[in-house]
Amino acid sequence: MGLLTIIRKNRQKEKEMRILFLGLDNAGKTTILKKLNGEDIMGISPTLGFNIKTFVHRKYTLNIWDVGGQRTLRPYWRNYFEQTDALVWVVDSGDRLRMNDCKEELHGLLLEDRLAGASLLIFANKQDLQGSMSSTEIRDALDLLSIKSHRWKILPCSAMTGENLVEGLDWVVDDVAGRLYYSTTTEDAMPRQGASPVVVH
Amino acid sequence: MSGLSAGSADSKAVQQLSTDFAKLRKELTDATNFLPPYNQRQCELQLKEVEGSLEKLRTAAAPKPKFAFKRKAVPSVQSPLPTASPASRDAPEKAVVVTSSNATPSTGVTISGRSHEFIDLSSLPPSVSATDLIISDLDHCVLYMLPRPGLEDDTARDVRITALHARNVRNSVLIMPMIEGSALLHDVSQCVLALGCHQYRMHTSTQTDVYISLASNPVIEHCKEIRFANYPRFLQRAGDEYPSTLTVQDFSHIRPTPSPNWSILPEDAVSPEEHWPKPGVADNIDVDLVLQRLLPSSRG
Ligand SMILES: Nc1nc2c(ncn2[C@@H]2O[C@H](COP(=O)(O)OP(=O)(O)OP(=O)(O)O)[C@@H](O)[C@H]2O)c(=O)[nH]1
Ligand SMILES: [Mg+2]
Repeated sequence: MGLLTIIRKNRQKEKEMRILFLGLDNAGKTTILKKLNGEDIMGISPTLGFNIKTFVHRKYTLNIWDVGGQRTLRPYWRNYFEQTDALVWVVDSGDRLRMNDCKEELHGLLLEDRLAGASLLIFANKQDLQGSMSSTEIRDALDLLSIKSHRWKILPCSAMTGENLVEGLDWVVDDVAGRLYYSTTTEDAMPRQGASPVVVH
Repeated sequence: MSGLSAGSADSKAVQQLSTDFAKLRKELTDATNFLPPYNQRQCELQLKEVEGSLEKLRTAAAPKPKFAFKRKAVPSVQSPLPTASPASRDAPEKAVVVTSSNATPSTGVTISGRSHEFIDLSSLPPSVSATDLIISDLDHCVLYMLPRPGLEDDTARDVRITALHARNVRNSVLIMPMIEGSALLHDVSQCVLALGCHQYRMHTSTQTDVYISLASNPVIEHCKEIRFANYPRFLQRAGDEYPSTLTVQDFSHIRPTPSPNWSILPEDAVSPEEHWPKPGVADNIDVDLVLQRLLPSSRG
């Protein structure tokens, strides 16, 4: 029995998932997590380093890592890749000036071996702002349709109103659970590759 | 740290602690390369506790300002702005509404590609009462986004700004109201900014004076010669809260030494009220004069 198999078996008992929140600075990662956790979202400063949030969603314990997205912090992102079940990529939908940066950072991540097999949720955040790009526009701006390596979904959301935040977590949990816990081939430790993308909007 | 009680903190000490805490966090982040996950986790939990105590101290030291998002319940679905009427009477050729080629395009207000101009709220589409704002490629401009009550056209109206994105602004003065959301700026040089906001991030900028009011830590990264001051009293408007504690964080300089990249604008370098453009004055604003009086470069 290989090490990965053992890890998987252990995890199966605990029903834990490790979720990584990344995105450019100002995207709203920390705000989304605090909102989901019912915390105050007014007193948030830009993240210097990272935060961990652990909460139970449905019957799963989610360990969520929220890493700062300022440029000087991005080189550290790779320290958090190990054992990631899902990557949640948060986008400031009003940040038209940096959509290209956003696309490049995301596509760079998708080449990472250690993220292969992770489910990918894209949160098109700040939909409450009038000038926000729609999730369709963001899908195109980030060239999501070209992604073949990961199962992905994009959801328009707002950390201010709470719109679609829980729906996003639901998708993540279902997608990861489908892979980790309901699959009968637990001996097969390889992540599913080349699965068909799930496209919404 | 755990010995500190919430009663005994003054804001200087809290500031120092915040900086220390930031350093700890940075060290832990650096250490994630070689720390085993379990230890990382323990460290993170401890840091969290410290952060909690720090938060309490901060609240005790500086009673939380009531600054809050005052957004009315905006429907969360896409609600594109009404298209700008091209008949905007001042300058019809200077469209400020970005429209994408998409079938159901989202729109946002953009002010872009201007030089040697005075730009006020009349540049915005007349129907706009709240919007996020994109500013790009300005040179030698004065942007005045406060209402001008003396005037009887639409520059007198109040426009709420919900977020600000700016890039490539040079030799200009930007005067903004209390922005409900965050401000994100890139490539700003030789400018003067006055704004309030929820969060402030400034990247790759130089030689700029920032008069600011916010309740979180303003952040700079890859910046040089940035000077911070409080949002001027004479621009403040009744009814708004203007938090005035500044704990600037330089993400390019997380070290025990103070960052060489920013400073507090000395009292005697703060521009006096008469140098700022006056709201409510109907005659044309002399852009060059305002720039000459306010810009850090011309004042030495
Ligand atoms: N209007 C609006 N503002 C939002 C929303 N989500 C976040 N914000 C604001 O955007 C700014 C950035 O939010 P953060 O949660 O700090 O962003 P972040 O992704 O954690 O940023 P870093 O920590 O620097 O990586 C804050 O001022 C938030 O209040 C949203 O859905 N709508
Ligand atoms: Mg954050």
